[in-house]
Amino acid sequence: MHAANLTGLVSLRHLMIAALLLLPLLTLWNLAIAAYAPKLIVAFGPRLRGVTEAREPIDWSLKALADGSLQRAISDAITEANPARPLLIRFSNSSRKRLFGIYGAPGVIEGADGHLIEKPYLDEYCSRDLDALRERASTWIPKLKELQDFYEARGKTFLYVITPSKVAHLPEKFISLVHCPSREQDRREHLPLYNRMLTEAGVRVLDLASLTHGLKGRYEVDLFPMGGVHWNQLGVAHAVDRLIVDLNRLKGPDFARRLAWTYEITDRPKGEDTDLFDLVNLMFARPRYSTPVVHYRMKRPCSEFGSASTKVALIGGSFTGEFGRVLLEEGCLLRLERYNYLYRSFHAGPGMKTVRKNLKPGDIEPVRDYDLVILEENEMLIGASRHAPEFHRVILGR
Amino acid sequence: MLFYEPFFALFVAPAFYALYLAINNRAAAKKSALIVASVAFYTWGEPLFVPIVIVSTAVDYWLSQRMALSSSQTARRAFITVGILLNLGILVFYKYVGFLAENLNLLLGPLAGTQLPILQIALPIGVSFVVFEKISYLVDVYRGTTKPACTILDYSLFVFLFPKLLAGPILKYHEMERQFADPAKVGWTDFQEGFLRTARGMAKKILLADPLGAFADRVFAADATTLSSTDAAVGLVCFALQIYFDFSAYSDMAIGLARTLGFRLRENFNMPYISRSLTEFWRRWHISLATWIRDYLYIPLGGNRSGEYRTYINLWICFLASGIWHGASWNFVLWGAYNGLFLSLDRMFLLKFLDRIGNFGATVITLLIVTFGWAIFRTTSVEHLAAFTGALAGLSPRMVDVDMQADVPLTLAIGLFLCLLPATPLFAPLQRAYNESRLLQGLAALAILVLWVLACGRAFAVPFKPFIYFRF
Repeated sequence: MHAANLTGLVSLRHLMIAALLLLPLLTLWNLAIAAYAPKLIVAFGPRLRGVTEAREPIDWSLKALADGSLQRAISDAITEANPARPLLIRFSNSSRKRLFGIYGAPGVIEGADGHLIEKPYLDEYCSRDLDALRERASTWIPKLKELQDFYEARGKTFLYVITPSKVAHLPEKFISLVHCPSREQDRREHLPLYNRMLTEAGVRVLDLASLTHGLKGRYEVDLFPMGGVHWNQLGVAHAVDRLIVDLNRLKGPDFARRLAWTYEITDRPKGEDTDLFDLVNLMFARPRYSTPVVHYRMKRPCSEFGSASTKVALIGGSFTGEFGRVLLEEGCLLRLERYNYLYRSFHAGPGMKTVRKNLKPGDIEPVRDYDLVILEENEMLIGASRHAPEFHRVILGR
Repeated sequence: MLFYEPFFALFVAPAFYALYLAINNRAAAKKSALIVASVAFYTWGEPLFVPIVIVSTAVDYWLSQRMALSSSQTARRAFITVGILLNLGILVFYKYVGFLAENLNLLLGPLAGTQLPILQIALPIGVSFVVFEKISYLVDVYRGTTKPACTILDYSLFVFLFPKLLAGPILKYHEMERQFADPAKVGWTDFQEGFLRTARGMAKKILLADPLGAFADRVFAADATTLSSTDAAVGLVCFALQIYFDFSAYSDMAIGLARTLGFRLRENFNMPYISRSLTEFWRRWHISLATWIRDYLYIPLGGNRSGEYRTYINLWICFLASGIWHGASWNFVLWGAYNGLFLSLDRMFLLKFLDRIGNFGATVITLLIVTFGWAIFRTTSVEHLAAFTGALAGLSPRMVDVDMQADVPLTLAIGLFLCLLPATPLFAPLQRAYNESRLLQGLAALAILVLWVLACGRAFAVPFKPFIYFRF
């Protein structure tokens, strides 16, 4: 078989030309259709999970051509539209996991018993330092107090909530992975010290992190899933119920509906229980580990509770997703609105569906007049989150 | 646009190749398609430099025609001088103006009382390769080794042919003349062998060179006074393997892509790390540059025909030129001098000594010489080199560990195995078995195919940085 095959046998040549054109044409199809009919996008293999940085619109100027940014933007767009991309990335990720034990998502590492975590959580836990916390908290707590005073002056309620970190809950699964210089005492006293400082300053705080850590070992499963970074449904149920207890104490015994639930253990986790597992985008991999599924068993209708008509804002990070949904649907905070990382997305209504994305400060200002405002920070970002200080700035205008 | 980027490998290349096959029987159309594609390819990466190369190509072509028509040796000499100066002018302007100004300022600044401005000129990718090829054409025509290109399209194709445009191999016009005048029809073997060669190059670049390079980069970016000798040594070995796999991979891709288009380029690497002397190393490493320097610099300088000392001087001039060709920095000059020194020592006594101690010892000593040469090449300044050499010798006052990615140890082992296997007695029977067995050849092709798929996946995966939320 030599030159004659590609020149003489027309059919073979045509077949080869068609095969060569297949991928470029499907790529162009994907590019053309993406904005109008994303369901028609052709992709080999399951779609990739995880958020990536938003892309700037292509700048078609001569300047962009000269500095190469136009070429890079076109190249990136075409690369992303390639139908083989999901399959090839998953193939590469699975091979690297098998050969080197490395995950494809940046910062995701595996601890003992297959537990996954994002490295920043581990770094924070391993660098806990009470003096640094004191310094950070002494700047941050007065701002929290200002927020609380602002709402109380208007006859409203403000509550500051701390959610747990998986590493702080299961340190034994992770701290052997890295050099962990923080002292045992600094790690143990981190939350108690912060709580004391908050209480001394008169800030009303609900420490759901300590509550969750206190439940460790009570169930046959951990309160954090093996392939996830957030608390599981049992963790959420306990946290929401505890919040409702606090709210009922603050706003009257029948303000919100207490939770009652049963649970079963499944070995087919899904949703938030697999968020990190999904993120590593492996091939043909199905998560198989035990995780609880909670079934809520409430009898009284929401109409019997004051919370159903109360305007509530929940401002927080990723731990407030399932937490907000349960609070709304089971705790009867029917008018709860969730501001995910303040500006990133706005959720409301049954199922806490995404209503809008990329909010502006003007979208947050109405929260000044809400009846109940819950501000969440994770224990790994105490006084260092972006959303909480920004909320303070927007609400108080300074 | 790099050959291993998904944009090129899975979009541009197959689309262009489909077009190329569609006009496989029409040589003139193929030439035009290749020139358009090659100029577009270069414009994609260097939009501001391409017009200069186009004009300079036209000037070369005109000068070569004048040289061929002129019967006066003086005029011919004038044409070749102008041609070489213009081409070297391009190289000097883009590559060395800043370096020259910096050094002139250091040298003359205190006397002159004023400083030359340091121009910030972006170095166009491939400029050194393009300029050397263009000079080879002019010299070949001047020497009468070849006639001038029949048409400016033929010469433009020689200058712009995209597979070799960015990083060689450096073509010599007289070797390629016929292929450019009448591009061969592409056959199935061209496609098969070309594709497998390209795939091998992609796998070498992405799966071996890049992970090793990532660790080498960390080691060379670290403060050398804090490096342990182990980290410094491992980082240096990683760099030695990175530069080989990276550069030879690019040559594989260039040779493979050219082959799929029906062009046959000369080999650029031939298992260099099994060399038993530095002289042999330079016959196996970047062959197209070494032979270019031999043909267009060493021999015109007199080569080894003018006595022993003159030969040493010629060697030093050639390797200093080779060093400075790699980049505008004193480290490259030093690296050139280092190579010149060992090649001179080879001629004086080292070759005889290495012959006497046997293959194993000779290969080990040569590897040590070459590897330390890479330290000169990779460090960023003479001070950095001194500190790095101190770290290699265990003289660093402070020790800070450099984090090693989990993929480095296995990749390093595979890289060393691949580089050094040809030096073992196992290699010859393995190669014989491979040549005689169609099954082995098929399995090797299948393995390359799998590695190519892995490399494509990695090329897609590296820029894909997913995270759950905008968290921090």
